[in-house]
Amino acid sequence: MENFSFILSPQWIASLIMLVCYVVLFSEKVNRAVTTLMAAMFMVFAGVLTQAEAFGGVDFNTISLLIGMMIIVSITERSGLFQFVAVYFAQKVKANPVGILVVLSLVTAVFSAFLDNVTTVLLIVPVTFQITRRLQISPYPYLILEIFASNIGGTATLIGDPPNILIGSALNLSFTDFIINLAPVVIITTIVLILSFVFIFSSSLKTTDRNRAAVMRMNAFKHIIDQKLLYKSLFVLFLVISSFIFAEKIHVENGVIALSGAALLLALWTLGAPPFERDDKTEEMFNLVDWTTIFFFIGLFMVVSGLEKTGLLEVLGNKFLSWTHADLKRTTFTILSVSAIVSSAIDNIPFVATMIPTLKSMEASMGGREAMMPVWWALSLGACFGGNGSLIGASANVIVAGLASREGHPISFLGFLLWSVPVMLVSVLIAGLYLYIRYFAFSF
Amino acid sequence: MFSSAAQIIAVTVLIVSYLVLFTEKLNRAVTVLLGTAVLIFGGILSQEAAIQAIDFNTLALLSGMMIIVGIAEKSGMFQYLAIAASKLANASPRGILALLALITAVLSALLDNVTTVLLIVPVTFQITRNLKIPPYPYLMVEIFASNIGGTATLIGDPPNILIGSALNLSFMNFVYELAPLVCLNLLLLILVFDFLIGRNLHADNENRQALVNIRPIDMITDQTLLLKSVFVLTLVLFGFITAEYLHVQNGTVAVFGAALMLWLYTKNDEHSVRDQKVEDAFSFVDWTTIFFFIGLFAIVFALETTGALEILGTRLLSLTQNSIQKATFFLLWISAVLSTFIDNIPFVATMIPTLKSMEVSMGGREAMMPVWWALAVGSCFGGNGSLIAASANVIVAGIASKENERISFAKFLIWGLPVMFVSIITASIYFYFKYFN
Repeated sequence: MENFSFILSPQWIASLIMLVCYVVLFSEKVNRAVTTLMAAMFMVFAGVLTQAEAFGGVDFNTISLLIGMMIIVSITERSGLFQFVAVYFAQKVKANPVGILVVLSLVTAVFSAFLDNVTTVLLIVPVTFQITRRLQISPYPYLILEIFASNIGGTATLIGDPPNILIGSALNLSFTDFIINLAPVVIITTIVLILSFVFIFSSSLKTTDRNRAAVMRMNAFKHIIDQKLLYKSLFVLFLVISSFIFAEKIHVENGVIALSGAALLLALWTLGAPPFERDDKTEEMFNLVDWTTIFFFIGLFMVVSGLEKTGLLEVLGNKFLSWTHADLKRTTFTILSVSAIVSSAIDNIPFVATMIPTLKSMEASMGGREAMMPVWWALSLGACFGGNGSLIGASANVIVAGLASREGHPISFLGFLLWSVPVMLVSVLIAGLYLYIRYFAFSF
Repeated sequence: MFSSAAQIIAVTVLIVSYLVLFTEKLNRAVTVLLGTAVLIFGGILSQEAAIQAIDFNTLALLSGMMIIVGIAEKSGMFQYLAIAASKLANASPRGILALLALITAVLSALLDNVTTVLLIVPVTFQITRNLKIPPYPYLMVEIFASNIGGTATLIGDPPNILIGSALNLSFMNFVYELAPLVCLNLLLLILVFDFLIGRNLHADNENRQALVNIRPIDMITDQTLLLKSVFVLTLVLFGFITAEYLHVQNGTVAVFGAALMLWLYTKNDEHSVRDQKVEDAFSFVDWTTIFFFIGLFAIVFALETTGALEILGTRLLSLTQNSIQKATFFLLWISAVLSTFIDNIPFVATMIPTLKSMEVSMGGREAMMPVWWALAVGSCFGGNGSLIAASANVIVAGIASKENERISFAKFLIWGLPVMFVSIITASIYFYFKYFN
């Protein structure tokens, strides 16, 4: 009887459900939203969680932030702003292939700090093809550099990459916290990355003056489809980002800011349209939200909260503590390297979502949240930079590969590894040095 | 009456939002989201409180069922049911009107109203499209029938669920006390609609004949998907009925059903096709309606947390001077009128503790039962008063607008208010003879 109840204990059921869920997720046999939702509902049926607890486990701040930003970006996209910027800067460097390599990757890095990476590459890759086709050069170096830049650039801000959104929301960190702590290392890494690419490719990227003239003839302003919308979008983006920066002062959380921004932009965008068209446009924008990702998050939050409730993650945290002897430095660098390696092989979102409660349970033994911050930054840097490790390390990589193969320039898994592993190692090394100098070198 | 600044702001936001909804100058989801934004940025409501305000069970039920129904529709299942039902009424628009109202009422007594209208509306559109007649009267009568039918049972309408669980009432308590009244009202509804609209509805004989000639079975376009859909729907409906015993809420059942449906639907597809189909299926959810509910929940919750709703409730009850009879009729009318303008769930949730606190002075729970039934009937029937008075109304309007049939706030009132008043008058007479004669 005792054995029986042991098998049926919530801890075992929860770990079993989680295990199956993660295995199915990584095998990609079933759609990821379907997988986590089913696992979450099994947790409720099995009595690990009540329905109310399951919803209580969902971080709705993250969910609203994601939904709000997705709506804002999909509307802004229609103005043509992003393509305009890319072409504009390509012409600023006189259509020099190496110069274009630099500006496109810089634009990617900056955009991805404020948009999600998938959106960024979806916007930048088509423009890249337009330009490289006119220059009659291989798009390959541009594409892979854009992948790397998007993953690195996204690390700089709270909203740039899902791991940051998760961490920021769980710890109530502000937009400025991320910029102050992570932007320096992101800027350094981006510079190193771009310089090495320029060094490697400067001799092979050559084109004729005629081709360059073709790029110069492109009309950047042609990309601006809707000028009024452009102003509205810029206005709302400005409001939203400044509210993010002052979020703490105005006592409003980021999720509400993003969702209110989305509502405001929807209102401005559809203002004056006849009711039918207005409601259709609104519904269309709601449909453009990446609901698979949203439901994937919702299910995942529930699964992790089930696991958390059983105390399993605390056990894991304690194991980890005894392993690192609760030493801050040791923990920081272990987290950095482990999360980089894990994230290069599998989706970093479930990993980060599981690590958050685990790390939180360790706070008391590590001297409080304030003291533990380097560990959290290490988690963010490792998980985000790790996405560069392989072609399946981050969704942006997969998207670029898909777009490239459609254009007849396939990026192979192994071919990509040749570039990505060194990039990942160097960037994590830089991150390690940065963390050491910033948080440990001068304090004893 | 409202003392604090917070209460005044909360009431103002509610009124302004309703004015905008009424004039339809903005999309309804955008309107309430902006209203919520004002409340949160104004410091009346915290983000946490706003989230707490959201009834996730309803949202989960809604989005889950919309996904299941959206996929099931692709099998031709609803077309099948539509043809079969119209044949039953000999494809006469008049007969179909009565038949659909009846089916809706019965279904909504057994299922929640949201599920009921999600199942019946696609069938309705199939029929009206085939007969080339306007869907509008059918949708209206379905809304009314779902709100009236739902009143008959413990699980039929959210106010009943709330009252039933607060007082520990059984399924049969509700049927015994309320079913006669509901049947009477339903009959009245069908007769009046038949007299005003049904007998004037005409379809071309050609279209009718064409409809009668269709074999229902030919409407099935995807047999495998049909089997999967029937399997999932049966499982889900069974889950709803046994939910109480399983200690699982409807939301869980619906979301699980949706995940299962999505899995079965995409099981044999390759990666990219599968993920695209899942993403497309998420668009079956009427997101405008979902976000409308989210905003509405938050705005009404602000009314609740600032104490404005409680002030209103106690003020009103103090007028009844502890007389059961006065309290019964008063509550019947007040809850009907209030439910017309604010969602009835928060209203009933606020009234329950207020009424419970009056039990002692009113002679105990047993004696006070007529007051409770009045609350249930008033808030359920009140759901017919306006387009935003009950979830089912909002959903029907949402689906209709997807099908390019607008049901406007003002247009609905013309039908909704009379229906609501007639049903409350009937209820008053019923209560008088049943409890006070």
